Parts: sequence; structure tokens; C-alpha cells
Amino acid sequence: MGKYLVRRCLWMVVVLFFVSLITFLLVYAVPANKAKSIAGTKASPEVLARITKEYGFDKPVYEQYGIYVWHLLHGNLGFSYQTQQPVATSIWQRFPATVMIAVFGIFFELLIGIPIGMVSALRQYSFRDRAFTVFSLLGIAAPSFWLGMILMYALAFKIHVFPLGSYSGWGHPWSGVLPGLTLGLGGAAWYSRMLRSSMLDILNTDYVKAARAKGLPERTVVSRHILRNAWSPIITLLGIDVGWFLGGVLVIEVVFGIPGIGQQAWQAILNQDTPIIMGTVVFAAMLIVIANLVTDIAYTWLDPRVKYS
Amino acid sequence: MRRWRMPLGATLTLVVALALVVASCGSSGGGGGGGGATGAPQKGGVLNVAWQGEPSGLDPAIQYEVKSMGMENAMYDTLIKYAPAAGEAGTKFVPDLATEVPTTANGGLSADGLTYTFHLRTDAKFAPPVNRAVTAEDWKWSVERMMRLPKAPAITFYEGIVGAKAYDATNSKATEITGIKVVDPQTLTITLTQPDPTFLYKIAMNFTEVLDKATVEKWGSQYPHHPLGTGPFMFSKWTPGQEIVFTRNPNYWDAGKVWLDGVDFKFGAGSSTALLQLERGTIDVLGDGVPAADYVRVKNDPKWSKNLSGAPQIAWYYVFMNTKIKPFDNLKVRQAVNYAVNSAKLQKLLAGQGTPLNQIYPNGMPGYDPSAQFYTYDPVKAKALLAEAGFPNGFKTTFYTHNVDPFPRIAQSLQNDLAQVGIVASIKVMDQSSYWTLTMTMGNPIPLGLSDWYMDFPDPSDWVGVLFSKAQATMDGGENASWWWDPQVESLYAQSQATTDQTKRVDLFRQMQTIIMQQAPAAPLYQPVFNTMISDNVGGFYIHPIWQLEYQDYWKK
Repeated sequence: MGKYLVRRCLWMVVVLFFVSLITFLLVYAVPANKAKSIAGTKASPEVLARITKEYGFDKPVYEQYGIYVWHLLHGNLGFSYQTQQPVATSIWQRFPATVMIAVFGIFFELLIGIPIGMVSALRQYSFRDRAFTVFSLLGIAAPSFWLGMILMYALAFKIHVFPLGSYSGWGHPWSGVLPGLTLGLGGAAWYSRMLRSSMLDILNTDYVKAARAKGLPERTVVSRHILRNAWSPIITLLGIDVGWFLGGVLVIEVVFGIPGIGQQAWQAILNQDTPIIMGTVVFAAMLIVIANLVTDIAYTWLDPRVKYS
Repeated sequence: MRRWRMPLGATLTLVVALALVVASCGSSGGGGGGGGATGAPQKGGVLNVAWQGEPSGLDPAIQYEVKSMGMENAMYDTLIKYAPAAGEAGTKFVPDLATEVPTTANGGLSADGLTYTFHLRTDAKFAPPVNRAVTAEDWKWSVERMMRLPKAPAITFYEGIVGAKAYDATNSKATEITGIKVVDPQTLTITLTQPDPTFLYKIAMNFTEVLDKATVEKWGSQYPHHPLGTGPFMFSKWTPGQEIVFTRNPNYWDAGKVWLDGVDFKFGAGSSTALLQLERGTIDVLGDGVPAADYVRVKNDPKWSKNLSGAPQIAWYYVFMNTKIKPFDNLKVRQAVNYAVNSAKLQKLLAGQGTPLNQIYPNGMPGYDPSAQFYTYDPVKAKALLAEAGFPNGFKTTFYTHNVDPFPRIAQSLQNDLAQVGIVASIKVMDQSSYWTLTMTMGNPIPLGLSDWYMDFPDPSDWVGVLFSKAQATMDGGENASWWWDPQVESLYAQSQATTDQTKRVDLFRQMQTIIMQQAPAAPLYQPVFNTMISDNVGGFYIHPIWQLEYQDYWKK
């Protein structure tokens, strides 16, 4: 296990290196004038020359990337072209809002998705199963920004249950519920389908039949023998979602006005603010890689048969 | 000044609009009440203003877009400013930190037009905790700081001051701009190398707003997030991505005319969400305006239509034709494109977001001629011109645009117009930043493209000198996307810059317009309109022609 962890950590470094390299090359490949992005379209050639020199845009691309990586290894993600703030500070300031949405999103995914998946599997082809299938398909098909606007219009604008597109920090978690619900509804649809499918595979296995033949209560059969073995795909999805959500859920953040890192990254793309773009991508990639690692470790805890060497 | 926009919110708005229109049929939330410009002013209250994105900073030497300029205008002072009024009256000067606007009549401008003298008011003080009086030295220091900031975008405006070019040159050893003299703490003179009829416009811009040296030095590169000025409001708090809070400046010299206790700028919500917030009563003013997709719904709403305010912006949208690329080197082809533009169809498409324009100067810009009629929609004439140019069956070309609304919509409409006269244009859509960079690159492959231009200051030199000048057509990074210039226009332009007689200048700029329109390097499309909405609680609201929103003049009912 120890060797496995070391190997995974090394791979993590390799993955982050390639993520940063590819992102850097993509940003560099955009034919925008970075000096003009910083100083505006009115800037004179003298001003542009001054900025080009100060920011090192006149250096070869490999040298610019080398400088970036060198700073990165020293924990310096650079400074935003637009705000002059350290990138790490900018990401850290925006991260709590993203975390709030991610927490609520995952909460609602599990809260809605798991019961629906269980009922659908245990009552296969019943009316409830078919109704939940329709719900799931709608949840998967509905774009999150559309769902968000509709929910906000109905539950925040017409019925004043939730705050209308405002974020007030962790001190007022109520503002994260509706964005989280929007995020969670889409995810719940996937979770329910995956759990249903996984449970149906297990329902007719010999050990479930044996448990029932022994006279165990149905609740015990479901919780100990079926659910425990059906968790794997859910854990996989959860691992992906945790990394993905924490990396910034751009559309949800824009629709609900959540000042998270996704929204910040979007503005950075518009402004050609390369350090923020790079910083956010590397940060999000790191979260996804860590989430995947934690997921793999979680398998061993859930299923003793899984062993890494 | 190029207008940069936030496309995602607009895109989402357009997609979601239909759903919301259906959902909102027959009802609208909120209370009653009328428009915002009525009633007596009242002291107190905080104005809540929604903007989708936050400014990158509040340093007047650097920031150059309407959102931050409006905020800075509420927080800083300069020597003279634009009058607090809507329409053309808002383009006139009034004193700010200076006691009067310098003219030759009051002795503020020398007879040779080279030296301006400003007397500063004695009651102007910086906001707490600085609390000291503003001096002429502060203005000089603020300008000199701006001229050496790497990111300052507008230093060319001030290079006409004696010694300014030497001061801002790379590795300059100059210790000051010699043309700015501090005569005494309350008096300064500015000497130019040659008369500049637009110099007062440049002085009224945000770039010369006065900063406190000690505060700037204390915060260093973080100053844009800890600004301090002398204006009606003072900076109180900035929560990244969420809000900026201004409170009343107790030291403001004209505090009696400031009604609000503060302004709370709220960021993050998309434009459609902000509209819902306003209808719900949590927002007072839409900084980004009414989303295009919601405009018709709001305009037809008996309650909320009363809260709509709109004003044409001193700006224009146009098609440029690259005269270096065939067949747009042919005058008749360029004229044919002008005749092919169906302005009436465009107006329907814009649904209140623009007004027709068939000249280069928008309404509100000196030189605008309400009686001018250069080209009208005439596809038959366009076809005839194409035949005369040697294209009886038309030709194929590529129409470039960026991907931010309304550009793609306009491009599609124009593609259809051009097809009617035989010009088959395939549309090439690029991201905004790459597109502008490409249009400004010499030898670029764009034969035909879409552009817009918002004024820097209300003088036609900001049109001809930027969009149709030789200087901008012979440099990389120039704004003359047609790469067209004319010796006669250059001559007339030089004459216009050598006189301060405004009547004569307007006449000269109208002559330039006639030549430009006849030579047709561009086809005017429309003048954009800024449409915004206020809550029932806002009084004294108007749209300023320069700053759009003049927070210090509004009040809460």
C-alpha cells in the first residue's frame, strides 16, 4: 500500500506537469496580444513595449514556461495581469464559495439519487420505477443553467424561499442551497441510474438468495448484502464529482452569482489573464487527482477484496 | 474605446429568455410606483447596483472601461469634470477641484493656446483617514505617476505637455514633467508643445484624478484594491467577487449635494438574475443594463416599463472593408456594400438596443449632421455598382466577427443582406481577444469585418484620428481596420487640430465625413442605446453621456 501511494503521488506530479504544459501551450497559442490585454486597446506602442519587457512576453515560449514552472515549484503561481493580486490569494479568496456549492451539490446528489436508485431497483418495472426513470432522464437531459434559472425563478423569485442569486458566505449557508440543489439534481439522476443498475446485478446473486433463505429481514439483506456491494460505481462517481465541483462549477456559479473559482476563471479567459487561467487549471487538476486517489483508497475500505500492491 | 463584454451571461440569458418569458406570462413581481426621476431629493439610504463582473481595480490611472470609470468618478476628483446632466448638456465642463474652467476670457488659457492655469479650491480634502487638503502638487504627482505606470493605457493623451514625452520614455532620467508647474499650493500651470483643442477633454478624464501619494506608496501594487480619493464617496470594503462598498465621504467639499449614505456594488449575478433581483427589490440599478433578451418583455410590462431608462451612447457599430484586399480596393464595391445594408431589418433585430445611423458620427458627437443622408438601403443600386465594378454576378468573400453578442446576430443579418445583392459571404467567428488583435495586425487576411467604437471623449478627432487616419493605418496595432486613409482628410484633420474655434472645427470634421462616406471604407450600421432599469426606490436617475451612471446625483426615496 505504501509503495502504491508513493507511485500514485509521483504520477500525480507527472499529470500536473503535463496539465500545466498543455495549458501553457494552449494559452500561448491564442493569437491575442497579451500586452494589449493588460493595457487595453488604446495603449501606445511604447506602453506595449514596456509591458512586453516587464512581463517577459518577448522571451521564447520554453523560457517563459521554464520561469513559470520554477516559480510554481517555489509555491508561486504568479500575479494576475488584471488585478496584480497573487494568483494563490485570488484562488483562495474564491475557494470557500466553490466549496459551499460543491458540498451542497454532493449532499443533494446523494440525498436524492440514492433513495431513488434503491427504490427503482427493489421495485423494478413498478410505476415508481418508471416515474423515477423519467425523472432521471429529464435530470440528465436538462442543462444545468436552464434548470438553475427555472428553480431560481420559481423558488426564489415567485416564492421567496431562497435568496435570489446572492452569496453571503458560509455564515449564511442558505444561499448555497439552491445552487447546490441545481447541481445535485443533475448528479442525482446519474447516481440513481448507476445504483439501480448496480443493485439489479446483485439482487439475483447467490449470496443474496442465501441471505434471504436464512430468513434475514429484508432491511438487513438490502443494507448489508446488496447496498454494500453496490457502492463501487457510486464511489467512483463521487470521486469524480468532488474533484470536478471543487475545481469550479462555472455555469452554476455564473447563473447564481456565486463568486467561486469557476467564475473567476471565466473572467480570466475573457481578459486573457494567463496566470489566473494557469493557476485555476493546475489547482483544479490537483483536486481531481487527489480526489481520484482518495476514491481508490476508499475502495479498499469498502471492499476488503480490493488490495493495492 | 473598445467595449469589452461578458459573453457567458449574455449567452445564457438568450438561451433562458424564452423559458422565463413563458414562465412570467401574465404576472410580474414587486410593488407599485413610478419612474425614478421625480420627487424631491432625500438624504440617506444605500444604493444597490448590480454588475455581473467586478472591476480589476480602482486606480484611475489604469482602469479604462465604463464600469470602473463610473465608480472612480464617484470616488475621485479631477480639475474639471463633465456636467452632471443627461444628453448633450452632460458633455460640457464644470469646475471640480479647480475653481473655474480655464478659457481665454477668464485668463485661464493663454492667447497662444499653449498654457492653461488652474486655481484649486481651498476646501477640497482627501477622505479619512488622510484628511488633508488637496494641493497642486498632488495633481502634478498623480499625473507624473500615471505617466510612468507600465499599465497606464492613456499616456499618449498627455504627451502634448512639455517634457511629458521625455519623462515617460523608457529609461528616462527626467525627474519631472517640466510643462506642469506648481505656482503655489493652490495654483498650477500646464504648458503644451502645441495647441490642443481637445486638451480639456483629456483633463476631464479619469486618468488625471488626484491620488494621495502616501496612500499609494503604502499599498504599492495593491493600491487598486485600497483606493482613496477626494470625491463624494469613499471606499469602504471590497469582498472579492461579491461586492464593493462605498460610503459617503465626510470631507467632500460639496457634501450638501450628495444624497446617498453609500453605494453597494454587487457582483456575480448574471444580467437576467440581476433583473429578477431588481423586480424583487434587492437591487436598485442594473449596471450592465437590461439584457437584450429581456428588453421587449420589460418594455411591454405595464408596471416595469415605467422604470426603464434608455439613452443613445456616443458610439457606433460598423462594417469595415479592408482596402488592401480585392475586391474591396474597388470604390464601387465598397459603395455597393453600403447600399446593401438593410437598416430597417437591423432595427427589428436589435429591438431597442440601437438607433439607425448612416454617417460616421453618432448623435451627440460634434459633427453629427441630422440632415445627412449618404446611403439608403437600395439593393438594385448595389447590384448596379457591383456590375460596374466588374462583378455582375457578385463574388464570394469571408465576413469576420467575434463571438460576443450582438456581433454574431448582426453578422448573420448582414450576410443575408449581402447575399441579396450577390455577395456570398461565409462568416468566420473568432474569440473576442483574438479577433481584435487580428484586425489590428498589418497585412491581416480580413476582407470584411464587424467593429464598434465607443468614444473616449466627445470630440470627432476621437473618430477620424483613430479610425480613418494615416497614422493608425500604417502601424501594427492601429485601429484603422480598413487600412484606408486619404491625403485630403489628413490635411483637414491637421487644420482641425490647429484651431480652437469649435464652429470651424465642426465644419472641418463634416467635410472629412463627406469624403470618408464617399470613399466608403466602412458602412455605418447603428448607434447603440444603453437601456437600464431602476427600482421604485430610486430618485434623480438619469444616464450620463460619459459615465452612464452618476451615483452621486441619485437618491433613495
